[in-house]
Amino acid sequence: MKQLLTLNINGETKEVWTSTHKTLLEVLREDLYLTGTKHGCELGECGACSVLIDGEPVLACLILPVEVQGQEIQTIEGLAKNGVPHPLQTAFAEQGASQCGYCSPAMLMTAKALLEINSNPDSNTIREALSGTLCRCTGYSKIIEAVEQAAGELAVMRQNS
Amino acid sequence: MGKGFGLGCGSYLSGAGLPIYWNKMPHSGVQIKIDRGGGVTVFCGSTDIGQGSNSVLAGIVAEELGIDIGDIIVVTADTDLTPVDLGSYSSRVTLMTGNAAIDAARPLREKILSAASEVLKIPAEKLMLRNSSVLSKNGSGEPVPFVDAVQWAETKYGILGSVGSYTPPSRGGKYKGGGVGPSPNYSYSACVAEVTCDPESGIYRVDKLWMAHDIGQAINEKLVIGQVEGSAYMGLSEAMMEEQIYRTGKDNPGGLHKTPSMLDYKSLTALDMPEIETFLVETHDPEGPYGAKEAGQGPLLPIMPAIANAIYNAVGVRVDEVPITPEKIYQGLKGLKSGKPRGSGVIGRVGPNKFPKITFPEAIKVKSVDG
Amino acid sequence: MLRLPPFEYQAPNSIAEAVAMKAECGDSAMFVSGGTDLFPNMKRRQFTPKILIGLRKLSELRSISLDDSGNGLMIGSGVSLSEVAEHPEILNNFPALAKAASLVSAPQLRNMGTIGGNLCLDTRCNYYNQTFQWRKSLGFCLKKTESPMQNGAICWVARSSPKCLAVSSSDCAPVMVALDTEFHLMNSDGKRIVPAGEFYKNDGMDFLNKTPDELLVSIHLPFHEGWRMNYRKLSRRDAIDFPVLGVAVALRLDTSGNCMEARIVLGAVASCPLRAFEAEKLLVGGSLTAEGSLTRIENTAQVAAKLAKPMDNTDMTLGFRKKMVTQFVAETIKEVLK
Repeated sequence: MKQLLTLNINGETKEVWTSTHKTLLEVLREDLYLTGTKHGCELGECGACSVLIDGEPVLACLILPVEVQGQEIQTIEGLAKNGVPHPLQTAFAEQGASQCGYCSPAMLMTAKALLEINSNPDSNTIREALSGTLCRCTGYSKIIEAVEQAAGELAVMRQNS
Repeated sequence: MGKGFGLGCGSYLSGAGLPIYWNKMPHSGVQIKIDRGGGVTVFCGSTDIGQGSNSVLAGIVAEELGIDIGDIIVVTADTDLTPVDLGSYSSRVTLMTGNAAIDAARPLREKILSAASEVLKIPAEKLMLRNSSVLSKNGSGEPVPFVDAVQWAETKYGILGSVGSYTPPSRGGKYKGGGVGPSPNYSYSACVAEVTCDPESGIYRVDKLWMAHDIGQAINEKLVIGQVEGSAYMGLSEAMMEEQIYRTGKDNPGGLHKTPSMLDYKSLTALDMPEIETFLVETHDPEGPYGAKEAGQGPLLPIMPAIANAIYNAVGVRVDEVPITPEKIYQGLKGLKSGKPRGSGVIGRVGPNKFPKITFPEAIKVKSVDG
Repeated sequence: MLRLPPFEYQAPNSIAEAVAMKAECGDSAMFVSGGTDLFPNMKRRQFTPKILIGLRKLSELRSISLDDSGNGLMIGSGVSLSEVAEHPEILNNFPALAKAASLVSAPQLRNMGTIGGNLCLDTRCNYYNQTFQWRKSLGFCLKKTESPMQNGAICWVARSSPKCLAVSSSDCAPVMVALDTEFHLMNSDGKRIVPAGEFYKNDGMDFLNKTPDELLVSIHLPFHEGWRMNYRKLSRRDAIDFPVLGVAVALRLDTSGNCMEARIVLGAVASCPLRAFEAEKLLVGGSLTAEGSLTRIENTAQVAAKLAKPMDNTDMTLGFRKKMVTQFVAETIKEVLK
């Protein structure tokens, strides 16, 4: 069975004609070619597929796209604006917070959601916020330092604007 | 709560002396092309899997040619385009591709300096390449832009290209196992772990790790620290929980994996991983590029003994196998309370009671090549 | 890849419509709300419903409000676990529930998963929560699934067991039992109220006192004036994992520290939360702060632990989990008294 979906992704309205039983992750990657969001365990155990729905991190592998029509979906593809990396992306690059990169989209989106509700999180709060996404490369420490760095840069940007 | 500290040390190799398929050809090849616009492209079969091997190649060629790392194009991991590299395994890439890159870059540097020497009428040995320019070593005269010097060199020598290779030195002894060849060099790591362990349950958390790693020379310090900390994570996860268990028995003659998912096969989350403080020790190994050695696997090794020692220090239980689980510590604590030695005959020790039964062939005695 | 089996998706506009749909479709339909428990099971083919009735958009299920008499809270079953963990009324009045909800899996999953879903969580077993291929290679187990071809006759955990030993793995359920909560169920015939203590059954297959057509609509939490409570969880990691032991303790103390009422409930050591009635009796009637009360707490914990019969079908060894019950009960009581 197929259905027509109208999804708001990274501020753009997208129409997709696709199978009803496809998850949001599958629709993003296979129908919309937004392959930045990663397939991990597909069972809600690793966090690699995290995207934001109305600003909250959720697991795209366990969401039916039909249920998030009308809500704001944010994926890693929308994080940089007009070719300018988000401060989190710059901080990840500078700190070496991304090695193989498989968890990076999820880590970045989850961190973005955190910094929007908590502009100055301590490292334990960051650990808690990122605890649903597994990373096999970094030992997490550089990721946490990068989120701290980005929080500082965002604070400066807010002051200057 | 029992607080404990433990120290562990480890040593690891930077690649093997012989390739995985037996031959006498190079283990790594690098090709460099410099175009008349001053653009430098480095070709190598190495595969960047996140450890930063592309950055190592660019960094080394930039160092040799005195240009900015950002001005170098790196083409890797495409066998249509690149010379061979045996792959990202065995902690070999920085050492082998690094040496091949130096081997490829130096003749180009010589050509550029020699052409510049003719035009500037200064002996080549008194010139150097730095800050994207040709400079005289004593600081006299105006710097010449790198691109101008490249054009002088192309005029003199023709199109600028170069290849370099690396083959590990032959050091193998004629003894069993010597076939794989000793590694070109060896890294050394040490870890101090701080744990807090509940003396009733054996449940513990690791509060902090201090890691020191002899890297020889850090080509890119940030990436090296990333490799050291990533290894520490792997080692700690293995020390604490990671385990391949197979269901066996008559219903499962082939063995069925007990934990075939990321939920059941436990690895540390951001909440379980402690803070790590990393120290790089630079010892400049003669065989490494600029003295560099590996960082991607060696720092994993000292973690397990450090955790085992920290647990012993905290609650007096000696766990002699990984993973060091609360269940095993609890067994040891029970042993300490009862005062009764378990199978091993040591009170408070948990682990295999004997070495597994293996029939060893007769030992082969050899003479060391070093006498 | 693990894909969902094909299904038809229906989105009712009200609870009444949802239960009417279910009555019409019968066994071929299942309710889905957060999807964090059902979808992994569907991907592994434990369930292959022809129709899914999606509840996510029903605002009726997503509110937290005072009950009509003002003596308690009504929590809609569709409220997310994140909201349960952070809601000021729940944090103030039922901190053990907020804590239990905050310990479920990880932030992303708590943003999706609902309190109703956690309370109706399918029982778990490491012979059951595996892919179709894994289960097929071993032979399907006793725990029933939608598809008759998957029905095995053996419980792999204990061959001689006539019943399924899958484990109740909800963090919130033990707290609900401890707090004398009432579950409001609805089907097309009407409403039914079941006390939490009677909602769970110690059978891994038939573990809920709820017919498949009944929808858990809301949870009524009576205010617990003068009570103190806590929840502790044992799991290998601090995130993502299900509990392999959960302990909920609630105590009502008078001003001089005498225990007037007590609730001790164990989670994840059987197919349902286990209320430790005998152990509770040992706590009631005397001071828990006076000298010598530590021994009483230890005895209570030992009596409570006798109930636990963990099996080798979760993480951590069963002997260790059993031993930990005593320590966790004692420690949770002490934390409550702090």
